[in-house]
Amino acid sequence: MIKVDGLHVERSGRTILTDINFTVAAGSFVAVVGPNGSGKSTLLKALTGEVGIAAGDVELQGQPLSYWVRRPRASARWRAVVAQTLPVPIAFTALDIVLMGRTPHNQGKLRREDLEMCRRMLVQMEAEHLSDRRMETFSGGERQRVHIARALAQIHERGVSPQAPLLFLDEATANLDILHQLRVLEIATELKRSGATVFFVIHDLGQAMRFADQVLLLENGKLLASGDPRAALSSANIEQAFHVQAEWVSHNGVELLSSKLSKAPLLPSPPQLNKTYEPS
Amino acid sequence: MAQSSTATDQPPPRPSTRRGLRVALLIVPLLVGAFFSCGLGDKTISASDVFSALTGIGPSASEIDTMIVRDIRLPRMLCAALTGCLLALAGTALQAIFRNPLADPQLIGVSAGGAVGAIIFIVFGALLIPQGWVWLNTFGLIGFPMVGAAVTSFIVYHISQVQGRTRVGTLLLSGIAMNSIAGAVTGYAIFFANDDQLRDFTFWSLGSFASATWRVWFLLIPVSLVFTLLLWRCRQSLNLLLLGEFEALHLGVPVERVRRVLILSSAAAAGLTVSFFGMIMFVGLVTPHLCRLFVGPDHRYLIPGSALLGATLLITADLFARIVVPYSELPVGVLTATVGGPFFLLLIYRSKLREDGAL
Repeated sequence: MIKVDGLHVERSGRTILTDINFTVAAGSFVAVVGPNGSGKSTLLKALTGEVGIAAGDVELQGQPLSYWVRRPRASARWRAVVAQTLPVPIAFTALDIVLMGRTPHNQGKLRREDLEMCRRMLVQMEAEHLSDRRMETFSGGERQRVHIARALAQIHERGVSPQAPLLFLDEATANLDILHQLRVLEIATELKRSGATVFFVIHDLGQAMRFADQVLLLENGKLLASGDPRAALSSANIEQAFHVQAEWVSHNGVELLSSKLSKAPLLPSPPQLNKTYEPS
Repeated sequence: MAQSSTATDQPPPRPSTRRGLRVALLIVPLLVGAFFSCGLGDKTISASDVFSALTGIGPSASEIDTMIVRDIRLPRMLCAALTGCLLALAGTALQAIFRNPLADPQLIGVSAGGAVGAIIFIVFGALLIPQGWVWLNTFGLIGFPMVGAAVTSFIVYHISQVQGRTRVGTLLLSGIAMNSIAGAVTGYAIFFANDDQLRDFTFWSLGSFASATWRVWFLLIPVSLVFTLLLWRCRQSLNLLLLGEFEALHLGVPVERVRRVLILSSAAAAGLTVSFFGMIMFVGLVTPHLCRLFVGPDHRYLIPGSALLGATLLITADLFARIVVPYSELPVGVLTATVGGPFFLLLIYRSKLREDGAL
């Protein structure tokens, strides 16, 4: 499904990613984890063609990335992206936005089956009550749910595309409450079971451990570990990447992460407030 | 994927039919405006005479009335309609492409470039045209602004191309820079102009449909048709572009191609109207906003709506320009600015109130 070989990405002369190699099998849930600024989003953007590649090869669905970049409409039939920074609110309703996700399949013509399916997607994201409200009135989390519903509508039923769907989520649960985070992860798992591949940039290591089939751990632009979550998210790897002492604790079959700052913190200690704050 | 069973069996009808009806409703003021525009003026012609002059049905109007309606007012009204339509559509396209509600043809240097072309021709044209070739004057006054508009918008567009993509911020900034450069060049030309030339330029820059004839209309109509069809083809791409550049790309829009084609064709369409009728401000900016209030943000309704509304606005503006001062004519650009400017302020103020929660 995804094959990355010697990927090197630069932005404004600065190396963001270097020597990245991994493969992702179709129908797997990939979690991309790593500290802030380690290149997670850039990796996702390189795979979607948003960011140019300085060196290396990327293959999607057995074709080089450049093949898909030249064919935006064909790619849009099987690949959906939910970005980290959400688009500026505009005067469309939530249902309008979700319907836009069907454009690669219906060229903007409103079909009854699309309408019904888009409503179902809003129901899945528990956002059906928002469907006729305008996007600009939503909170960040509500907006994010609508965009996830839009991406789900985009890759739902492959249409005329023979390719298995691929869903890119860039911290798509960042603004969501715990209920909706789990909902998204559950939907992603169901998608995976139906043969789709989910490529999820995520901060919550516990969720990555619990839901992912494969974890890519990035640190400072390099791939520190790739593979089975238990191996990739070992305490040693977490300490190296995040400078945090961590230990996995099993509770009712769910792995929980117990973490604290390393003994010799690389960061300066938190500021001490020795003066009482006086409002001016 | 789980098929949720909570989906309603009978989804309520989409508001699309209602919005379609609203667009169709916009034809009414257009027709009313067009009819009044044929009847009113220095010589008032009764409704029945206008009708018979236009259609040849009923008791025939006097020869002079028929001539006024058919050869003077009708081509002028139709030119105003097409100009309004082109400016409004160019504004609609640019506002979506730049995802900026302040975008209009003026912003990418069309008007400023046109003004430079016009003043250069008005001031120095006499040196270029050989004696006895006065007929070249008309071509020059159309051709020079056209070239000026094309050159400035091309420069602005070219500068904003970074690694094969249009950088919107750069485009806006270079538009501002080009506008001020064009202003400076215009200023120099004005410095060298004599009184008559100054008067010519002032009138050109204020805009007027006095030069409208059937010949001009036949030049405008193919451009309008091509531009409208082009925009109509891109309607869904424009909707998706409102989501964001990359969102549109990931939904299958060939963003760069759509942008390039629409920016250049909007510049050409607006540049053509500038070269024929001078600078008519605010129509390109205000019409899409007004139309959005009425039919919503969806370009499937916004494009026909803006075209109709733009035509109506300019027909009405031209009608007032002709009748406000008897036996004289106000520049139509002054009228559109007088009404458009405060109206735009009101729109901004209303949205500010809404954000403050006061409305």
